[in-house]
Amino acid sequence: MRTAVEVVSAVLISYSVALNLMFSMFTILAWSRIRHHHHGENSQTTDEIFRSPLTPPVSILLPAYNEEAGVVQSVKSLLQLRYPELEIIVIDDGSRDRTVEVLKEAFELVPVRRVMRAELDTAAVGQVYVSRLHPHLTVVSKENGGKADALNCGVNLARYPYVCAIDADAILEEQALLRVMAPVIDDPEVVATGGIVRIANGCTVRNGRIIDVNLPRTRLATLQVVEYLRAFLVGRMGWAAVGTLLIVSGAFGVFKRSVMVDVGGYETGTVGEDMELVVRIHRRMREANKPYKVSFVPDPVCWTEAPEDLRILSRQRRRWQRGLLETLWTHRKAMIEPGQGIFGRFALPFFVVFEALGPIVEVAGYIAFPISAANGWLSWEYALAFYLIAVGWGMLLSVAAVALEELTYRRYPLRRHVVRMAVYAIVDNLGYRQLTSFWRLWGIAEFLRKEKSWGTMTRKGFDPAPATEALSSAAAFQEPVDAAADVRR
Amino acid sequence: MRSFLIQATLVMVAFNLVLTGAVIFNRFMVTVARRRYGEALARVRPRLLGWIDGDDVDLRCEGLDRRALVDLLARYGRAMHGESRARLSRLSNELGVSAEVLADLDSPRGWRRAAAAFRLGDLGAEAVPQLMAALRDPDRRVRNAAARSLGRLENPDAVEPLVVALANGSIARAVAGQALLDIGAGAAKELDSLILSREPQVRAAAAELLGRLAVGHSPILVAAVEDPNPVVRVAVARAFGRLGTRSAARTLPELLDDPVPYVRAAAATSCAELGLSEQTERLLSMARSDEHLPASAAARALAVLDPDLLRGASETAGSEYISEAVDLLEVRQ
Repeated sequence: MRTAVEVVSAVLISYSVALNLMFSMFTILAWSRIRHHHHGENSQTTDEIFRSPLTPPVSILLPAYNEEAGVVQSVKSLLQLRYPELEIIVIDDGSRDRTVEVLKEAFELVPVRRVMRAELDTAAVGQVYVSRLHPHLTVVSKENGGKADALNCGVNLARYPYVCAIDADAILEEQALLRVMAPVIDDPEVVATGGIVRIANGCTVRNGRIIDVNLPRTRLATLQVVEYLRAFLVGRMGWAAVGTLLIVSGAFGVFKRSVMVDVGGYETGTVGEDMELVVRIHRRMREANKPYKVSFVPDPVCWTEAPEDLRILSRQRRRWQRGLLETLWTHRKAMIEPGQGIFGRFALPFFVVFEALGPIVEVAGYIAFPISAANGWLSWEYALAFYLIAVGWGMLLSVAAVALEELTYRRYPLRRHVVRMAVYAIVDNLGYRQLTSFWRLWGIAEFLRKEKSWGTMTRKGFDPAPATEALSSAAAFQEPVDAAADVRR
Repeated sequence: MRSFLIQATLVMVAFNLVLTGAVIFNRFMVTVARRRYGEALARVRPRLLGWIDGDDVDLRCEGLDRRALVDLLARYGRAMHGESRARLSRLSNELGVSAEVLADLDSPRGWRRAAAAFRLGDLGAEAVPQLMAALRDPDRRVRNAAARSLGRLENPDAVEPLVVALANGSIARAVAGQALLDIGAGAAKELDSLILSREPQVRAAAAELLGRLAVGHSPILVAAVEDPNPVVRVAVARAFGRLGTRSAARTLPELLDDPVPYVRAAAATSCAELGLSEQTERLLSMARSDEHLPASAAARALAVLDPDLLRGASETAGSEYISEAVDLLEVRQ
């Protein structure tokens, strides 16, 4: 027994060290890339992109399901985007509330006959409307088919060479689209690009714009602020640096339309449709031996609301884990297929070992070490020291993410913000991380049970400012649930 | 092993404390630096605005005030045109600001060189040779910034290296293209030569830019309707729509019969832009029976060229594309 415990302990320790080493490497890579990018801001302005007639036009796709309360605000926010040529397509995914009616009233929508290319299969499409006030605003009403199906419908309707998918509850900064399109303009090989998503809880929103950046009031949401910094500034940036970014957030991502159509659009049978699409793009482009890049821009900001309730957060994290597992399972063969390079041989196995199986190992460690120590198979000092290293290393990585934000973008303006973030970066490894590991483990169980629902997700809305409406839940889409969009990690 | 773990734990704790302290201290320092810079801007800005208004102001300064002055000169230079900008450029030269920024072009750091290349365009500095040399910089950001500044300086000498950079892909096509558009008609001759490039994307970019420069008849563009690559023919069709010349009007209808649907679509759209009302019957036939893209484009073109014909067609022997165009027409009216 003792030998078995020693073997398990050795595996857990090696795993923990390997995981932290990998994330340390990503932190260094991300640090270098972000500093590089940040300095680059002195050598380009979005004005150049805005005034250039060569900037490619973009179709913005906004899928909406039961968004009566917030959709007008979201569309108003999109209408304020600074970009030379764009169209906005709102796809009502069979809402059971007054989503289409409120849009009709707010934007003077009139029904039009519209011929759609059926390049991607979707549920039946109903009426198409165009706004009299904003002729570049189109609303299409269709039968409920889920978020991915709604996005596919938007792709069919899109007239421009790039499509930007955003969540109905996301708030884009005025320059966000110009910034996220910069890599596309700079390099024609870029087929997908995403931007950083930040947490809007605590911020003040007016007329679809963030007018005052603040940290959330609740501890849970503040912990997520640090978590998002770590995920986006370190994780996404690190993966982009090695050329294998596997996730472009469903809350804000731009894709080359032709590539999206070539690979078959969004997969409707998964709750992780954003990751699945990017993984499929990697796989198909590599199969076809076509040059391509998936890029990440750390500064175009999309703000979204984070759950402030443990129950909802748990549901979100379980769904993310299921989406991850579904994607990895669907594309498992890419790990052995010839020609998949670093994507198939490194990125996918990394996600399998450290993201998909991570919660199992982590939770096993949390349970095994104290039991082993209690039975005398392992010394308490040894177990404690190991915990302290694992936790201390995790803290270091979180503090490094906050430092990265602090040395570059400093979006949280006050000194107390940075003090609070630094404190939460330390604290998030003392309970919160363990809790999310447990939820992810639960997500694995749900995946094995073939659970498919999105679950409900009630949103509280952003901080009230005059003329601010509480945003409803965003994009759960799948019947019979009635809400929920969120960012993906 | 135990002692190693304990030592490692202590190291982790120390690292965390140091990094956390550094983050908080950095914010303190940044706040102080920002305040001081803001004060410097507040001191320098009224003096510079006074100078712009014609007051006799001595703008020589040092330290943080100097940095604020350089930033303001670049910012105002970006927004100004014509004589005002030329005057600001002369001031930058007199104060040695341009020379100072120019020196940064030799920095070992790519971002610093890129920032300098960018700023030289805003300052209107006499730095065309240096910026042309920067088009060969190993750092892409520097090359892009230099191209953008050469466009800002509107110097025709820069056309050839920009065209070369566009052709070999060393600069983002949109950036090089915009720079050539900024330089204006002087770029057209070099662009003509690009239409003979071996690279179809380059030929297409050249055709697109020639259309946007709108310099008039271009025999080489007319000849490009025979280009074997449809991407180029699309660009030529679009260019014809913008050029509005007699030769464009004569040649464009040929592309309505192109075997590639999106070339026909581009040609239909350009017919509307050129106001080629003699093509309405052809467009009507396309709107009734062609594939999705050209049929849709033809119907929309008809909405511009002859709305009554379109409405009439929708009531008699229409098509879904004609109905769509009629509906959109009604919305826009």
